[in-house]
Amino acid sequence: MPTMIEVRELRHAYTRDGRPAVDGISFEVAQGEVFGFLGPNGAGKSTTQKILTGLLPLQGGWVEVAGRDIRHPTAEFFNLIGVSFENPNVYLKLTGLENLRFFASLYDGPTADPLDLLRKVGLEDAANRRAATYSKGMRQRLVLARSMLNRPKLWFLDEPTTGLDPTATQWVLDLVREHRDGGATVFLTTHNMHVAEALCDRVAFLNEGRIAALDTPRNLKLGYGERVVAVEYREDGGAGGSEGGGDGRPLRREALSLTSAEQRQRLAELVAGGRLETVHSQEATLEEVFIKVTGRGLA
Amino acid sequence: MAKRVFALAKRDLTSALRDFILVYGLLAPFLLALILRAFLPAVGGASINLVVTPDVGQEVTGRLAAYGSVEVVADRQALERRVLALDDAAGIVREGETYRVVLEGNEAAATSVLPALVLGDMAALGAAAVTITETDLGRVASPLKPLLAIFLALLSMLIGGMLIGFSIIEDKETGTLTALAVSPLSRAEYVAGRSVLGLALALPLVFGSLWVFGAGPFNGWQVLAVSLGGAFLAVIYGLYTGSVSENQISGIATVKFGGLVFLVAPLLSSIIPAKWQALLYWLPTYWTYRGYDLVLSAGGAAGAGGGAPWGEVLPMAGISLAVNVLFLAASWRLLRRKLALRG
Amino acid sequence: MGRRLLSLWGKDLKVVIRNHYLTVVVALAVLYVLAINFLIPAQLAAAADVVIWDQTESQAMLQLYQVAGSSAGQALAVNSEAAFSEAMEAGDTRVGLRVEGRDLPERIVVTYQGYENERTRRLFEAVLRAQTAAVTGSPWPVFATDTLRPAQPAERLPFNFSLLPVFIFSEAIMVGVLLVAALLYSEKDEGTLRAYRVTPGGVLEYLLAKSLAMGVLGVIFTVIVTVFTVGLRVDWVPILGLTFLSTVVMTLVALVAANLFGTISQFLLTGLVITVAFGLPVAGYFLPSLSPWWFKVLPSYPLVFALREAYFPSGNPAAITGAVWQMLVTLAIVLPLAAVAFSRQLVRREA
Repeated sequence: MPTMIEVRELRHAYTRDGRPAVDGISFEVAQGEVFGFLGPNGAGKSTTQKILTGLLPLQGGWVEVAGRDIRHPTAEFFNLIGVSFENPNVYLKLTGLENLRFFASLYDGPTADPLDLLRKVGLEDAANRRAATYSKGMRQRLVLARSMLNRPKLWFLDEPTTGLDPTATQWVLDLVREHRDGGATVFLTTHNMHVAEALCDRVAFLNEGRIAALDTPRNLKLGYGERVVAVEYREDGGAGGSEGGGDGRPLRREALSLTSAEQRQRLAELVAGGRLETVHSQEATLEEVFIKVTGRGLA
Repeated sequence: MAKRVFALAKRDLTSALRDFILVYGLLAPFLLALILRAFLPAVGGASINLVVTPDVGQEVTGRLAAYGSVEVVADRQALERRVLALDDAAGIVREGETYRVVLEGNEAAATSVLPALVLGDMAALGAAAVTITETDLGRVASPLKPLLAIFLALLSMLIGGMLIGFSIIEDKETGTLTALAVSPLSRAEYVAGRSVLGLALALPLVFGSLWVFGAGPFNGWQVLAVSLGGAFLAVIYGLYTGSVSENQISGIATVKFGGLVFLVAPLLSSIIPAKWQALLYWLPTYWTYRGYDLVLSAGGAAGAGGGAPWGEVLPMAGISLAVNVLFLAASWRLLRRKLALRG
Repeated sequence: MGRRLLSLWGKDLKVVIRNHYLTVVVALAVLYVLAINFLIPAQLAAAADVVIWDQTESQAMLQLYQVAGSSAGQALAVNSEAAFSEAMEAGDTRVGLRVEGRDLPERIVVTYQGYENERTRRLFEAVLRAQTAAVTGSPWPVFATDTLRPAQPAERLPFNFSLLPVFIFSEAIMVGVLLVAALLYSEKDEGTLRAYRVTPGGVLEYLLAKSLAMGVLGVIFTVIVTVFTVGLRVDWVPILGLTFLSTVVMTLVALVAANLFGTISQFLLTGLVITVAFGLPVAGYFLPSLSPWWFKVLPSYPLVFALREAYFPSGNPAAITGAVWQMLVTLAIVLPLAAVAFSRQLVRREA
């Protein structure tokens, strides 16, 4: 697959002698991929995204986006990309519909129907109300809708689900999948592991300006997780336990490692015994992997 | 209460210093004062503009320079071009033994009539039957000077007000107003705290800009009295701007409108016929203007501790203060709803 | 680019109107209409009165001054030293004449205020000598005058109407200076500037659209004030054209400066300085002999004269075309300047 984004040794510092916000990161994003930056606030995710979208100048390193040198972004470049910002930045004095119509007029090619987009993000009832009356979540959705106006080949999403309720979050996830299926490349940043897990083909862990790990979510979880199975089963005999099951026998829990022959044996016994009630494989969550790798959490 | 007020004012000061607002705030009136000061002599020195061709001769050209500013151009064509330009300039050309005046036709009376008279004067000099001597009253300052000085002083106070107004707007826009609302701060304390910086700036600005402009000599105590009387002005203006405007853009609109009412109207009073002056009595700035007029015009006369009679200055300052306070009280009622800290 | 420019223009107009700015412009226009029609006098009270103590038998000088009329000032007759001093003290633009002699004037002592410069005094004395020559019957050389443009309107323009160009300048044109900066800073704070930067839209059209929106406001103001003072029968094309063009130019000047600052509070005072500095040449409108070189460089100087020519034609269309050219030249300079300044600051302030 051709490369959509290529980054080598990217560096950026906001102050001359301060700690660099981005400290020499390198990665590639293939066309059609959903690529995620996962990391806590201040890790350098937004900074990287701003450099990739031409909002911040390139201080150190080499960046190529859609085959173009990012140091000289052209109108043609901006016609290809869509950007959804973390802080909802809409014209408060214009209605949702007016906001979309205005931005649509800035693009050279064909654009999606604004009303249609508003419907997709659940804002069609508020279309003719001024954005000043929107809640933060609504403004966030408007920003998302706006980023889809030009049917972007490359879609940048900065914390797209922050401030959204579960329904809206689900909309976002569906939209991203829809775009990916349509051939778009998605670059998203988030500190929410569920989003990363649900959407990304590959995830990069970003911490203090450096990439600590980069792989598919599955590999990350498996690679750093415990190959452990957690089981719940009913004891043989004995008086009724607190969680009275069907026959009042107490519930027991055990975590059995699949790498230990002994424990595999135990598992086989339990399975054969027919008293297992639940079986869960304990891959680590992405957050747990993150903590393992970087020593700190995502929050 | 005072503690909270000063905490707010201190935050303002810190923010302003970081923002360099204080520096800009101090610079602008001084810059204006300098510009006006440089400008004033040009106004006073405007007599008439004369344009001559070289054939008029150096001697005559030199004598003409005693009456007006003389510009020598290459030829008649250049002279006509100059005469036809936007400003008023009269051409003088040689015609045989005598001279001719060249005018565009739309000049003000001075430029259309005087050049011929000047030529006549130069020719007749010495043969005049009448001796003319001169003396003067010693009033060295141009009469325009007090007006400009008053303008600067009023503007300085209004600038203080603008700063207050925009910090209130900033509080609204950033949402810190809501944050203050859930603190023990009362509305009056909030306004007082916001006003401290603007008020503190207003007085030094007034004196500073007057000094840079060279508005002296004037009686400093009298200027102080009038300024104090009008100091509430800054608060009123700021309160008005800050309450009525919901954001920066509306803020500009308010400042514009307020500036017209507070600044231009009193200055216009110098050309408005006396019977209409009563229309302006409700304006706080009108009285401050009158006070400054009294003090700064009188200052033209020499004399230590001189200036206008205190018997006139004090009542003026008093009325100014009273109108200011009344205006503030009335506005408070109207504006308190708009500046709802809570609810 | 044209389509985007139109779209941006429309958006900026909407934002300005929904911020109640149109209301303010209309309200201001109404205020000025009232001021011009009712408040400002058609004739300025004469400022330069002459105090005369004619001690001659014939009182010839006094009569001359009284007959000469009030175009320059009134003649105030006094009969004693005390009255003379009192009259002189009372006005700070008065000139005093003590005319001495038996029957006809032989000696005149002129009392000036003190601030009058040498040239002004020589001019006045030249006038005095001409007047005394007329009174004493002495010969006075006369010089012919060529008038290059004879067809001029005879009456002087009433003072209140003559202020129209000044008001249009200060309200229609300079109104944009602060406002356009506020628009810019608002979008920066709102974050919409950032949203715009990731679209194909460019810097030039972004800035120009704001200036054009200000131009519309200026035109609206001008139309209201014009219609309700001098009426409908005016040369609308040059009036509105000049207003629109100069508003655009002045706001671009402001935009160049606005990039030096980050918030409206910081820019406020610089904006004021710009407004006053550009406003100074208007003094040349009131004192036509006042024309230092830097007046002519500032676009406001030819502008007020051009507006006067547009409102009250005196057969000098060059005044209008000259102003238009100067505006266009200024536009060609400030537009790229504003774009460069803006681009520089955009990236520097992104954080």
